[in-house]
Amino acid sequence: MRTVRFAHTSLGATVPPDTIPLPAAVDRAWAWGSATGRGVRVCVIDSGVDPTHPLVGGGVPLYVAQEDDEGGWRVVPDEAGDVAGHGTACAGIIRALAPDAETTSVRVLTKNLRGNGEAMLAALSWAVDEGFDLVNMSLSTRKESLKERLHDLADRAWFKGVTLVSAAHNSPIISYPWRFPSVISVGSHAVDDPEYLEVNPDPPVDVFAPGVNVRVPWPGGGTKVVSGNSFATPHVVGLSARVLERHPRFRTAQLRQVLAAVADNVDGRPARSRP
Amino acid sequence: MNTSTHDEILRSTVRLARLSFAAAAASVCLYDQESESLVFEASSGQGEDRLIGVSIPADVGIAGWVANTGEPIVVRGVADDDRFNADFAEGTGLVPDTILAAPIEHDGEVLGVLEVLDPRLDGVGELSAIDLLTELANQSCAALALMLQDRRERARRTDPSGAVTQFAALLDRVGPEKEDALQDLVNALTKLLT
Repeated sequence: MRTVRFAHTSLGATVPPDTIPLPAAVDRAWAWGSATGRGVRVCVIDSGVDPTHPLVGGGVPLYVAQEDDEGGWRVVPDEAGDVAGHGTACAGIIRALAPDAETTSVRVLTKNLRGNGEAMLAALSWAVDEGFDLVNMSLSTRKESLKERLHDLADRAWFKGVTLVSAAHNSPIISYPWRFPSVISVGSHAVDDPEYLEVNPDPPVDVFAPGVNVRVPWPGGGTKVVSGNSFATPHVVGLSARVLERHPRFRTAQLRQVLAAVADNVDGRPARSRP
Repeated sequence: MNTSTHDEILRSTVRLARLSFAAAAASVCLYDQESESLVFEASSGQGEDRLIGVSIPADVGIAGWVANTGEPIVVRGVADDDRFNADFAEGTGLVPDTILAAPIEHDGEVLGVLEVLDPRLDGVGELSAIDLLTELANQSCAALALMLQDRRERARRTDPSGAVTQFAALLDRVGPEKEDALQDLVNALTKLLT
């Protein structure tokens, strides 16, 4: 039964094993074993992060994308923390799955809504230049005028070995960067198991992760229950951080293959949980 | 459309949103480019008379997130988060536990945010609620886009130092003997702009 009602969500479909080019089983023991994301650098481009929250773990460097006097955009150190709660939630999910990954936050909320796309581009460009292993982007833009530059940036990330993991929109509309094939795009399923992962037989969304009624840390010290593809995305980032600790030379292409290989909806393979 | 039609569209949108979710209140705030803030334009339910005209920064809070990203969201447990309600909620007389918010978008631009406070989600499910609120926001966005355009035009016409006012003043100086020339100018401008 379809229980998830927002867009880009799992329909519970399974995939035949011959859609995955792996004659021998790739299992989770090989993919990540007991890895915790140690040494893996993750950038969360969002509303900022509350680094004092116990479920975020402290030591999160904070940056913000802001417009300078000449109209350009730069990423500079920030002290505002999390201005909306969303980024702290994402950072908390990543930490729960990969507690030793090193998370950095870039805040991109702007007062001038016309500038929010520019902030996103500046943050992403900075993250690629800095060579983060993984970038969590639980946001997207619908602006066609930004599409080409965003596409170039996603390509630049792909070639540099910076993996972008981006949330599909919660409405059935086209937005970016999640639609680009160079980006690992994430939708939601409603299975209450943080490590339950589905590979999508019907692109553009690559994988589905938990995005329904997810308990997350919220600025100020407490937790909240939230829903949306935004919160499925950091689950994939957390699992990917584990893979990259174990296999540090993997790039986006290999990561996507491993995520598909260990998915719980491949016919004839054991699943962790049942939808 | 005149101003009262605009107001009626907004009032109807928030009333419909509140009734749809048997909620304590619903409100719509529109983005004001000049002040870079979200301004409450209409509200239904508890605190409705105190909200209109109140503005909040466009880069903070749940509404700010929705406006910036264009993504709908449900957050439960707002009441224990003093960042969101300390000053603001006291002023409105309502401290909500749950906020459901969706963007009002037109041609990829966010015009504002439609918020429902304390919606009853039992039996509906919060994901169906996101669906429903998004549709309500979509339904009102075309009318809101027209309204905002109309407002901008009015503002330009009433700004004494604005180009439109100056242009009108110039034309006013043209004597009745040149009425034909004036008409020619209007025709030429119409041709140029269409």
